[in-house]
Amino acid sequence: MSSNLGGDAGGELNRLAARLGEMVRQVDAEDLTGLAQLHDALGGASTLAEAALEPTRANAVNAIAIAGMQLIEQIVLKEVDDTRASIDQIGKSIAELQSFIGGAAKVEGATDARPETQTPAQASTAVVEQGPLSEADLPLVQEFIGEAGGHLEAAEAGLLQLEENGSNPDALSAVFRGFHTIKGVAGFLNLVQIGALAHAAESVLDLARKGKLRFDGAVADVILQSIDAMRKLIQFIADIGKTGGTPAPLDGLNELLARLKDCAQGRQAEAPAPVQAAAPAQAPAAAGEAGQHQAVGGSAIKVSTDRLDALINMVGELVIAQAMVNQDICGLAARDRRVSRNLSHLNKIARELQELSMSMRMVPIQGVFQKMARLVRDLARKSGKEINFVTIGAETELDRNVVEAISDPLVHMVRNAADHGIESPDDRLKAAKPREGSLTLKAYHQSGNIVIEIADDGRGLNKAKLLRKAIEAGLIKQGQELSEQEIFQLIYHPGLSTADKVTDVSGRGVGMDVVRRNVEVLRGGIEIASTEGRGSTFTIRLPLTLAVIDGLVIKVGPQRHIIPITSIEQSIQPRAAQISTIQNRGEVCMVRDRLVPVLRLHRLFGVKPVNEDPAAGLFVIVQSGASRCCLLVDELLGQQQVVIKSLGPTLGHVKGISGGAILGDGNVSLILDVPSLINLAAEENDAGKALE
Amino acid sequence: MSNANAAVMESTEARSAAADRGGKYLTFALGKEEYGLEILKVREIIGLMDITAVPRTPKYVKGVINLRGQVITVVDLRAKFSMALVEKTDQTCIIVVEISQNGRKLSIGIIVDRVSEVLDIASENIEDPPNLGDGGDADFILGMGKIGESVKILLDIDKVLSTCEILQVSDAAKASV
Repeated sequence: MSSNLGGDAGGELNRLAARLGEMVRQVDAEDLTGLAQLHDALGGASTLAEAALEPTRANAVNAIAIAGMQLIEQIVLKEVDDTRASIDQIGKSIAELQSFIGGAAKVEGATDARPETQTPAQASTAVVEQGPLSEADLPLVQEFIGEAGGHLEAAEAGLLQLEENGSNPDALSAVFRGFHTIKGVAGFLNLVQIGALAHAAESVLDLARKGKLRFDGAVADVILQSIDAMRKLIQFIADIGKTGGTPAPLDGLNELLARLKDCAQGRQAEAPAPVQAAAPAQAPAAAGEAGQHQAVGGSAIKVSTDRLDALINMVGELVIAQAMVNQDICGLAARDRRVSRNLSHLNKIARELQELSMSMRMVPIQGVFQKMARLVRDLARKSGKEINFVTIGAETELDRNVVEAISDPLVHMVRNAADHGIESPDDRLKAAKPREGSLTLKAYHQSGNIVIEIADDGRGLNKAKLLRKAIEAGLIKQGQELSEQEIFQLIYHPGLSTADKVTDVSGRGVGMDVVRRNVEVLRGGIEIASTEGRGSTFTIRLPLTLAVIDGLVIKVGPQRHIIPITSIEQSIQPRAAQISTIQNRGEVCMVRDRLVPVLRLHRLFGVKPVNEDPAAGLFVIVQSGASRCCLLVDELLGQQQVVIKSLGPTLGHVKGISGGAILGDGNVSLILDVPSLINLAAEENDAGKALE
Repeated sequence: MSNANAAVMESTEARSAAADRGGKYLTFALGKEEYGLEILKVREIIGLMDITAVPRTPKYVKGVINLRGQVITVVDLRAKFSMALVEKTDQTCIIVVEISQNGRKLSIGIIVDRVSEVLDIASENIEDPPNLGDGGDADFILGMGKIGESVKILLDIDKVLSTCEILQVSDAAKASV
């Protein structure tokens, strides 16, 4: 693929490396000629490596070759007792040598083919020329794309760990391994750009690993950038896999490669030889941690999400079918012991199967937390703040879909905390707080919900300022009394930002509005606790899974509907005196001294109710955020766990309905979408809206 | 990969519809009119069951049913074609068809008066739909199949039940509320 500098020597080196492998397999302690040949070949490899490889790599090959040669000498001189083990040792050294040489010659061609005299434009063609992918490689490339994501994530995690504790050899090795593996596969698949980048980053890391380079913020920066660039490159490859064509060159790849190289060379000289003497002391603890992580991984297989979803659907159907059978033969079961026993056995199996299938979709929130760690790090660097970012409960598991959906809102909130919450070091010192701000992200389970807390010890929400802004924006009237929670709720209003200056990260006042909406889509809620000057804590509460909800089954006319329990505040039997109409259009109900708009569900659904008169029916008071609404229903049938089914793309966007659920008798009932119902109530009831 | 397959399937389907309309059709009746559906689009035929009405949707959307755990939309074809609605009989049934919308497959049930039979109609017996002027909506007619003296209206069910149309109408319904 490359016929450039060192290409010939590289090729020869590759051939020699292959021959070395054969020789060491055939040789034994009595075969003196064979040993001599092996000795010579190792010497040759050492010389060739100097010509073909760049210095670090050549040094490594040299060291291995010399060690091998010394061992052979010892064998010949009968200085070692266990010759067999020694030869095995040589075999291992040669394998290591091959790994250094293999791929190296290939990728080397790409990176080192950029002599200093070349102009950047020429250089870019030399490096990034990536031919079209061969058809046969496509499945392998697909697999590589999937795996590389994982490697990069691991590398990023290791890197962030390293920054916290610069002398963690395990973390460093983890980062190195990530790049090394990517490099190997990229070389094999002929992904030149990725290979070159991985190689350059790996060289830097290798130096750090050997203690020849001090691992500091600048190195971390450039490696993190490499990870980002690598992600982009992989995305290119993924796009090509789908659409065909040749990859576009990545802007700045060459600069990045050059920086990596500078990093490797420039620092090499000035780095002190005995770096990080403290490393071994901390190693055991870190090793223990790493071991744990691996244990959690265990052995696993990859299954496509489609199949998994199909399985979970089937199990859902099974549970419904089983409930139906249960209903049908419960009379028989009461009389026949055997039937009753078998039936309860079946119930148990079905329940366990459902729990198991649900748990299969569960993934730890770790990935999202890691993303946040990266975000906080970058923000802190950019704004010159010092932030100690702590995550607790990263192993907490939740539904894959929830993890995906919660990522964006979390980014907003963490960004807010880092950008607005935590003050600059100087301000913090003035406020008698430690220079370093702390930002804690915590996840845990609580009564069937997952709770995510974002806590900072920054300046907290400024209530007076919030009120002032809200009055300026006409959201509330001057002199209106608001509870603390109500004031905090104001931050959700679109366009209301307490930030004095709009930065490129936040302060436009759209964030929290979007966050709340996203969280509500997941049927969750946000609570705010904040003390001015001491920090704020945002608590997001989410259901564990999107597939099952607790619902209240209600009846309106002949139809049954389901209201999610989480959005129900209370249900009351209204007295006629509580209800008043406004301008003969809207209706409101006085509930505990608050006027709540009334929505007659039967009118919305166009059915004939049992009770036209609200006083004869029931009100279910539902809430979403700060707004409430009374739903007039005929009957409450009971609470039930239901499996949510989408109504499909044809009816997916019906206002007031969030989905369907299959009840025990096999019929579909509609799940009411409370936030949009409240909006509907407000639309149809302008008078009510004004009061809210 | 599966995307590519779906795309390939779709394009072949489209081609066969345009060039060669001959093949097997499931015929059914709405009042006195006889219609035909490409057999490959038909997933199954089920008896009428309880249908859960969905509010704020067009009149012809009868609601949703539970088809072995999957929630599918049911459309009343009489209402869709602006025909007089009749009482349901024991012959009334739901044909579950699989249509493709923007490359996605989805199942929709259509209510018809009576299912007749599966007919093999050769392409030379299929004529282009006649021009019905402004009033007739010939867009979703694939062709007119001639079987002896009778004529079957062969439907392009994808067009009849296009999602965007349902959504458009539901927007209109919302606006009028």
